[in-house]
Amino acid sequence: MHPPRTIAALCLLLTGTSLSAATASASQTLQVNISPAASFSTSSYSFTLTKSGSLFISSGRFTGYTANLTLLYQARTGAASTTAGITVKATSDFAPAGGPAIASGPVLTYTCAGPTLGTGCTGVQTVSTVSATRVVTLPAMACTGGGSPCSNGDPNSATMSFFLPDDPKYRTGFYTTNLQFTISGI
Amino acid sequence: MRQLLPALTMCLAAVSAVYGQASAQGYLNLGPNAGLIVSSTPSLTKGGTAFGDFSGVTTLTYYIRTSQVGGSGSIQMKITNDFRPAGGPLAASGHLTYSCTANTPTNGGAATPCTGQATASTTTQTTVTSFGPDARSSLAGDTASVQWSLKNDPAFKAGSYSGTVTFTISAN
Repeated sequence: MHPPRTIAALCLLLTGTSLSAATASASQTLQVNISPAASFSTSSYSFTLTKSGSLFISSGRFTGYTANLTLLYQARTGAASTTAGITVKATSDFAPAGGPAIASGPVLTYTCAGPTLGTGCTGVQTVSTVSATRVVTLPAMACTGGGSPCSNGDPNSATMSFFLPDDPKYRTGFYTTNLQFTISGI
Repeated sequence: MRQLLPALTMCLAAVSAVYGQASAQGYLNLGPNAGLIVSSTPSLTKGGTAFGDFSGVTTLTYYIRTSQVGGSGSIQMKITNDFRPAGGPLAASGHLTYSCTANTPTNGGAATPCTGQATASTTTQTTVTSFGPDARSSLAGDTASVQWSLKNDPAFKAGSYSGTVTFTISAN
C-alpha cells in the first residue's frame, strides 16, 4: 500500500508528462572569501646550543655557543599585507639564574637564512624578552605551495642560526629558555 | 512550464587563522672553560750589583670558569727549551726561579698564586696559580704574573741566551 503522498506525486508527474515535456533549471552562486591566513606546520621546536670550534679564540676569550633551528610554516597573505611574517620573542629567560640573561642585553642573537617564502631578516638580530623581532617578512599576495605564483615548497621553511657568547661570568650548569614564534598573514 | 526557483547564494567564508604561534625551548649546557694570553717575552735585566740576579716579569691574562661544585683549575708552566747557547745559565741546573701573583677572579671564586720562590723545571709542570670551585673571570680576563729571577754566576760566559717557557691553563 502506497502512502498517500507518493500517490499524489505520481499523479502530478503523469499529468504533466502527458501535456508537454518540462525542464527546470536552478542557478546557484557560490562565493568564497579567502582571507589571509598563516600557521606553523610544526608548533613545537627545540634547539641545543653547543660550543662552536675550539674552547677559546686567539684573543683568549671563550668562543660562543651556536644552534640552528628550522621553522616550518604555511602562509597566504593579502593584497594589503604590510606586517605579514614571522617574529620571535623570549617568553622566559634562561633559567636557573647564574647563566646568561636575555633581559640583560644582547645575549642571544640570530641570523636568518633561506626562507622558501618571504625574506629572511638581515644582519644580526637580538632576541628580546620585551619585544618581538623579525625572522621572516612575507610580501603581499604570497602563498604556500602549488608553484607559481605561490611557492613550490609546502610547507615553507626558514632557518635561524643562534649565537650565544660565552662569558666567563656564567656559572656552569644546564640552562633553558623559551621562545615564542608568531606568524601573521596580514 | 514556469518555475521560479530562487537563486541560492552560498557564501562560503573561509574560516582560517590570520595568526599562528609556535614555541621553541632552547637548551644550554655550560661547562668549565679556560683560556690564557701570555704577554710579550720579557727581557731579563740585571740587578744593581755586579753579579746581581737577572729579573723580569711575565704577565698573564687568564679567562676561567670552573665547575660550581668540586671544580678547580690551574695555570702551570714548564721550561720547554732551556737557555741556549751553551755556556750560560740553565733552568735544568736550578738557575731559574720565580714567584707568583694572581688577581682574584672578578666574578667569583678564588685564585691562589704559588708561594715563596719556586724553581722552574724542564721536566715537570709547576703551578703558577690554582683556582677553586666556581671561579669566574671577567669577560676581558683577569691577570696573574710570574716574577723571574735568573742566577748571574760569574762562571757564565758572556753572551745572549734565550729559553722557552710554556704556560698551560686548565679548568674542570
